[in-house]
Amino acid sequence: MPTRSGGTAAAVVVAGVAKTFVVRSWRPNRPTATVEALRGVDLTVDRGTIHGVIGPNGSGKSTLLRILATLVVADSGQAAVGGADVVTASLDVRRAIGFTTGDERSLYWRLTARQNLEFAAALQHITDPVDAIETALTTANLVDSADRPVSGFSQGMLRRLGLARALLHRPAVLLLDEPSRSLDPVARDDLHAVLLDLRTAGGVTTLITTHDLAEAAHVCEKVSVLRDGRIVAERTNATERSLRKALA
Amino acid sequence: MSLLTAFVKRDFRLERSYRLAFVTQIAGAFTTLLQAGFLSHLVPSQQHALRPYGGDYFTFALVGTAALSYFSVALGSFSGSLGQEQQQGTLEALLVTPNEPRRLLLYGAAWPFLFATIELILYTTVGALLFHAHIAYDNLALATGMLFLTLAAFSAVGLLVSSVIVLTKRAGLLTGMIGSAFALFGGVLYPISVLPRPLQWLANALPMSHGLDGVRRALTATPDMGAIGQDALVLAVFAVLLTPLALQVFEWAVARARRQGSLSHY
Repeated sequence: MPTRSGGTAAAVVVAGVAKTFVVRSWRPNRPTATVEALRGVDLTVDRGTIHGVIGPNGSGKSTLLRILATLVVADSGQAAVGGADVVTASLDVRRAIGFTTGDERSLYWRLTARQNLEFAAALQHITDPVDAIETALTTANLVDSADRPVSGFSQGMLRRLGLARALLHRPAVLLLDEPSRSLDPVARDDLHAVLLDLRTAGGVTTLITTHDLAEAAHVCEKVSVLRDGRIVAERTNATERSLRKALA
Repeated sequence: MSLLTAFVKRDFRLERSYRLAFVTQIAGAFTTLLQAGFLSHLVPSQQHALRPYGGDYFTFALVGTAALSYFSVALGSFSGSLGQEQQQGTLEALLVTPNEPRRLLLYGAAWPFLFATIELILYTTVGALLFHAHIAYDNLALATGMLFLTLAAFSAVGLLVSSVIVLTKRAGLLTGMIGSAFALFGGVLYPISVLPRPLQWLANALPMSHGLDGVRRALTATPDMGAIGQDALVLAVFAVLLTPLALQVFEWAVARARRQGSLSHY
């Protein structure tokens, strides 16, 4: 599995990854439906960069991220995060990544933000959780709401808490599935500021899926366009206009 | 904080947040206790079938119902906590952390076990105080040993059920059927010696009957160590053979769900 791209160490390498989902009929001997989510995706994300993946609904963005997060196993091809193969060294991969599922339900709604992070810190085997939690809460701008139950949080706060959880163990690679979905413009700008700061100050690599072309153009050094399970274009330092053209 | 402590703390906090359910769960246990107490007035003591267990029906029923609810936790807690994570949408967030799925499954069941143990202690203490159950407290260590051995055997079955949850997303019916079979043939409210011969064979093939038999005998004033040893051996064989198999099956089920992309489905 190659881990270098053009002389720069690659944080994420995807080579020929394909995934087909089989949807079985509940009646015996009835035909099953198949969904080809990915059809041989090649992707390299350079270390310390923010890389965007854009594409229409059903293009395979979330599947790609879930394969990298070791939640789904590809049918063929190879993928590695931080040099560790997602299938044979899945525990190493999970140590290296911070993942937001794009689903607000992934938090315990009856616990407070701090209690959610305490549990997440134990799952990540963090030795000094108090400091790590304070840092994550500060980064996500949730210090004032830390001791409130999550059930009273707005969509934006839930997203930020998801991000705080993903950042707790200072991962080398962030995998963010539509992190700015349903955020208001101010919250979205705050999120972008956090991501840019993590890249600049912490050297964190981020792979982000989004529908928002302006967001992709603003924060990503490189953007891959995924359509029908294939990367059909890649743009470096793209503008919103050039991305719109690539998507068309 | 260790991971095990973190799971217990999380589940205690979640449980405490549902205050009414917390209270009704305890109250429900005492309803069963009262039923067994009143039922015992109808059954004359020193029945032949009850003699190996001390002869008192209330003590027999008390230990049977208390142990059944305890073993039911072993049967359903793994699949229950897993199913809850699936439905809440928190399972993916757990599985992207650097922990083996089997470890997450075992630790996720720690709070239900702890709660059930507290319930068991309360249940038997109140039973002994209110209805004067004949419990030989000198042999409590022996009874506890039998209880844990049974728990180990039951947990293996519970782990197998949790694999069904991972693959089919529903296991309530299966858990219910296994629980009913154990209640019916395991000797909860009557000794298995009163069952017809073919059903006695079936009962002897279940870990429940050996667990209950062993615990009950251990709590009598003069425990039959030979019979207890036999029960312990059967339970140990169940646990030793089934537990590694159940853990392997669970790992296989998770790997299959990863291939299917259905881990977070419910």
